[in-house]
Amino acid sequence: MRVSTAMFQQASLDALLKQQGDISKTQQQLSTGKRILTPADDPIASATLVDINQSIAVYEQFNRNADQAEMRLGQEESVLKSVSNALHRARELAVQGNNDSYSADQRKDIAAEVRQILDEVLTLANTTDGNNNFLFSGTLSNTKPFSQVEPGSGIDSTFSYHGDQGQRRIQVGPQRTVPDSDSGFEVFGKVRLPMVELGPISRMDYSNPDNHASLDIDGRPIVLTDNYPDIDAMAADIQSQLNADGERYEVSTERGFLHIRNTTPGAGPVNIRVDQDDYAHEAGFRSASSMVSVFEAIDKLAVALERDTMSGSRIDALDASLSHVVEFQSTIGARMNSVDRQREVNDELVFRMTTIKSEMEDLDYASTISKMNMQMAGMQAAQQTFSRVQNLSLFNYL
Amino acid sequence: MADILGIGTSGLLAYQRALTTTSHNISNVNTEGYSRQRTGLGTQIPEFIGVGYAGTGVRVTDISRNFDNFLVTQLREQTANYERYNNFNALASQIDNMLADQNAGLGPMMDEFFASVQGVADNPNSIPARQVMMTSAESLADRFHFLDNRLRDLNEQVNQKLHAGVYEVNTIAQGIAQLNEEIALARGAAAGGEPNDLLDRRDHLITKLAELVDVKTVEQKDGMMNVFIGSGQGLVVGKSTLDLRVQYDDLVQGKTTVVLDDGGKGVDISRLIKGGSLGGTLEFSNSILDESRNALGRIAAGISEQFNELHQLGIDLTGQLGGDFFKSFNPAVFVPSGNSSDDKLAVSYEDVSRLTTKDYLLRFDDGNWKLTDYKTGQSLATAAATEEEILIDGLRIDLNSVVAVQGDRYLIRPTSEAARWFDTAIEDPERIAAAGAIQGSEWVNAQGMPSNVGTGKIDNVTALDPTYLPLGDDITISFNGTGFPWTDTIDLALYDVGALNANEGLAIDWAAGTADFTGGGTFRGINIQDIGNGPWDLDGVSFTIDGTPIELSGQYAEGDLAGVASHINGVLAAEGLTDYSVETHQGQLVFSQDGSEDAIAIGSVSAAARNVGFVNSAGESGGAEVRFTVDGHEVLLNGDYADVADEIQSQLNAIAGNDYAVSLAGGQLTITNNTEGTGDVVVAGQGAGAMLSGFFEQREPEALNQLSFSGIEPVPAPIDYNPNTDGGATYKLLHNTVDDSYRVIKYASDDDIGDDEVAMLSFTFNGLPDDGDAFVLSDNPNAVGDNRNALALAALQTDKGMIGGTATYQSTYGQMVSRVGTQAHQASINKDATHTLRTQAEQAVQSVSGVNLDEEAANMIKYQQAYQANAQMISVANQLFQTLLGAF
Repeated sequence: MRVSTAMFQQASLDALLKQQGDISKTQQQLSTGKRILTPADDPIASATLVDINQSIAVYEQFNRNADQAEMRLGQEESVLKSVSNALHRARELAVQGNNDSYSADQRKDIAAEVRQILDEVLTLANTTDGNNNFLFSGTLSNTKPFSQVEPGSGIDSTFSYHGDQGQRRIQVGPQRTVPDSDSGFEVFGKVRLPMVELGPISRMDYSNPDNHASLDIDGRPIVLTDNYPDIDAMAADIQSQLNADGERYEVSTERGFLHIRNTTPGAGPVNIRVDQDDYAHEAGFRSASSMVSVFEAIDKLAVALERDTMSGSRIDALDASLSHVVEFQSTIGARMNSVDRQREVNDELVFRMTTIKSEMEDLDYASTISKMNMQMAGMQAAQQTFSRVQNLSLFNYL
Repeated sequence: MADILGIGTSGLLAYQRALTTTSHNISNVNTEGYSRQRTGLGTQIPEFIGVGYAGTGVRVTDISRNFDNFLVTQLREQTANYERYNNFNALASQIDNMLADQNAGLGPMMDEFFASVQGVADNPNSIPARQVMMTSAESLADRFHFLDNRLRDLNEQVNQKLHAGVYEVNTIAQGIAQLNEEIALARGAAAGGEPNDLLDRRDHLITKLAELVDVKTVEQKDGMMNVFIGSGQGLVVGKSTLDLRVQYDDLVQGKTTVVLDDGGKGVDISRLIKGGSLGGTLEFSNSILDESRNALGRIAAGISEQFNELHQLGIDLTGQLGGDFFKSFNPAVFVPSGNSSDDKLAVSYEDVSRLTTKDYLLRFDDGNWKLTDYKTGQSLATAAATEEEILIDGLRIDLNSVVAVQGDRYLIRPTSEAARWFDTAIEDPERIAAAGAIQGSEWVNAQGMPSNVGTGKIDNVTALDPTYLPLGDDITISFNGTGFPWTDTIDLALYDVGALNANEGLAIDWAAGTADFTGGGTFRGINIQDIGNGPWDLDGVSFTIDGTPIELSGQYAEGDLAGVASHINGVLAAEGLTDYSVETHQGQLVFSQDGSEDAIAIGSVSAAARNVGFVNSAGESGGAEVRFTVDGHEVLLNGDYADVADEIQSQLNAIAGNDYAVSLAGGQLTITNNTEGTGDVVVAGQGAGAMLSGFFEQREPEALNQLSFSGIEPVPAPIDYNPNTDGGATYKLLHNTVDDSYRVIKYASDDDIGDDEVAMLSFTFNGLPDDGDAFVLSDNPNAVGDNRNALALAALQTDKGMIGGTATYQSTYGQMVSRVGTQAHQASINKDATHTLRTQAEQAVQSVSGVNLDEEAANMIKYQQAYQANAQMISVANQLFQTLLGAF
């Protein structure tokens, strides 16, 4: 084919420029380590990479959330550990105080230490984290959760909860959240005692219709209409009234106290309501529940020691408190374990996705370098032939 | 002699001319569009000299250019193609590069933003965490603006390219027209001689024009060339030209079209121009640029609408309801100046998940509203003038917002402006609504301490509609139930089988509680206790007795077991099984076979038979076993028991973790599960012996347990709650907007919600509440540590809320990236391919028309030698003359 001089030059030049362009791209790939420089290089992989990048970012965020959750759970756990230590000590003191060899004065001394423990537990329940957020106020982080009204030695204190029942959950995996806190309402407020204790009850004559005592136990009206020979007889009457429908309440007495227990399996706590104006109130019946707070359990121990009305049920109350708190401790442990497991899953996924991502976008250095070498050799050859061929002209020989 | 001189002179002149042409070629070796010329040589007219004709020398016949019209036309086509793809690629790769940039793309910014939302969820009352979220929201907005601006810049670039291109086309067209005139003149003057250089210049101009638009040419007889573009619009006709101009679209702001100025309204040839740089630019503008802006805007509209929707359902740190987090906006509507009024059509987002990247044109024509796809013109919807709205692709077009006037048009661009308008609406980090608007809690006493007795728990309380917030009055949910503890006890009435079949030798006395199962009796078959409620339907009931198929039929009144027995006996007799019979015994059907001690096998029980209580049974022989399960734990009675209840209890409790109590009194067996919270006691898997004795599969009937509501007027009706079947179910409080009543439903799907009803809030309920336990739904203004709404907001990141619920924001963006990438990739391949084709076409043209210096050098030598030879001829003539002169 006939070739024009201008075309001849242009073609050589075009070839050179193209080689240069190819080398430049290969060089760019080598310097970035990426196979895909723009989406046009591999549109499908690029779209997948957008998703993979998000997934990696999301899972890494889940792990940061997990750190956060573990930190909070750790804080809660250490507080609860202190609480259970304090309760252990209180229990020891209760056992000591229940020992008949102690005098009333000695019991008062023990009571003083029990009050110390109460203060300690109350302070622990009002713990804040490093940012002044209360650990146990539910989601009302700025509200101090517990307060105590202390009327004086030998009288029951009143404990109030000011937080809410909210529980914050932290996302540690897709569709997976873990609570990073428990409200004080649940942790300190919901100790279920095996029974409720009323009293001490004084023996009264209820046979006069004006003196009929009425109370409400779990919604069942109980009316006392006798002059019972002793409170055991009264207990028996209450039990028979309660079990009229085939329920399984057990009513017993101990040192003038009335113990009411619902032995129906799975039954809820026993609740007793006594009207302030009712004759029952005069006899010493008080509204009570077998659901108490940890503070009440300790406070009642102190009161019993102070009033020298110690009984085994005080120890039972502490045992119930202790096992309630320990239950939360093990829940926290389980949550931390589950956070750890989730983190392993997350790490594994991040690793896999990073591998896939790398396979998609990263460069195969070996093959690219050898490609670069070939391109450079081609370029050199093109350059050399260009200069040689351009020198060829018939005019040189004229 | 004179001849020799004349001939020599003609040679000299001819070769001088040839050398001139060669030097013209050499000097134009690098002139674009130049076609090499050649000097045509021919003999002069011969002279008759009697004996024949004698040659009289050489003459120049013509100077022609080496030119192949076919090849040049091909070159023009390839040039137009190449320039089209080259320009498209150059513009598309700008978007491509922008999206590829990790630092400039949208992906990392969205990740960062949602990470910051998670940060707020982790620490809802931390101001620094909230500040980070505000900052990254602003960065996200900036990124949207940046990308949108880049796309707008590109649009500007497109417009400039069109302006420049159109100017160049006009200039070239005028040049061609002028050359047309000159060529016609030159041809006339030269009487048929071709003005080669003028032709070259014109052909070159046309090729130049092909770089801008695809052209077609037709040569007239007078040598003038007519040039057509688009679908045959004449750009140059003879000496006259038509101008192209760039015109701004009257609907789409900033969008331009190319119009051929025909003296009237002009012809829009934007869609007709397919090739050249103008074609590529227009194609880019119409496909990838508009599409990308809409795709980007769709993500922006999706995030801001969906984020706001949730944000309004939260409570901020100051205790107020969260408003819009991002600035709220409606789809862009453009009203052309030609409309009867400036009234703006009201369009709003109805469901952003269904948004497309289309633009819509609404037009009122012939008494109807017509909605079309603006780009393709495809008809999408029609509505009569009386209609109030059109709902399409997640948009609500309010037809009442404008007066319907014939010919009025409105352009709706739901996504084109969204990326530009995307912006944060709040500035104060405290205003981020991280907390849920409503909280659910247990009833508490005056000290805030627990007052509920049971383990019922209200959870996942979520507000669903901001118009009902704040609630104001608390909504109280009370539980009224009977029959606790739930169904962890089961009573079984046991039957004395001794009376039926004395020869079975069993000594069972349920009343005394003793049972001897070792008697070696044989149970003969299966026993049917109850065959369903209502009339008994035996149609389709079939089974085999010891291999013989039996088919029952007919309907019987409920409880008419005797009727069923006599029917079966009839069938047995009809089948020839006369020794078999069935009897009723304490509400059961018992099969027996006269004179046989063998077990009776029942098989191939049909589905209908199963429904009425038949089971496959091989019978039980040898030791008469009673076999059943309690909550899946197997119980086997085959011994001699003094206290059968005690035996059952010890078998059940032999399994670790079990705590059952079993008692037997007056023929009534009571099994109680003492393990708390385990629910029903279920007796199942009975063998035939067990069924004969009354161990039927059963559950305790459920007690009436209801959740009732107060604090909202009119009070919604109470709903049943059974922890075994409803525990953990989602409930929704619905408001009927027509009769203003309320209703609570156990929610399964949106089908449960009536057309007039709006879901206000939802909650889940589980556990075993005690009678009188109460729960409260209340406003949640102080819960600074609550992160429920922040979690919900963060979940949007992975929620498939776009493109009809198929894609996340990120994958919507991924689609955009891959779409642009694919087009850029395709354009790049096309560019390379057409470049090769153009080069080949150019080589072909050059092979005909291009100057080769070596060839010219050879020609030069050839002509020079010829010239020298001719000069020698003159010298020879001179010598001859001298010789002749010297002879005298």
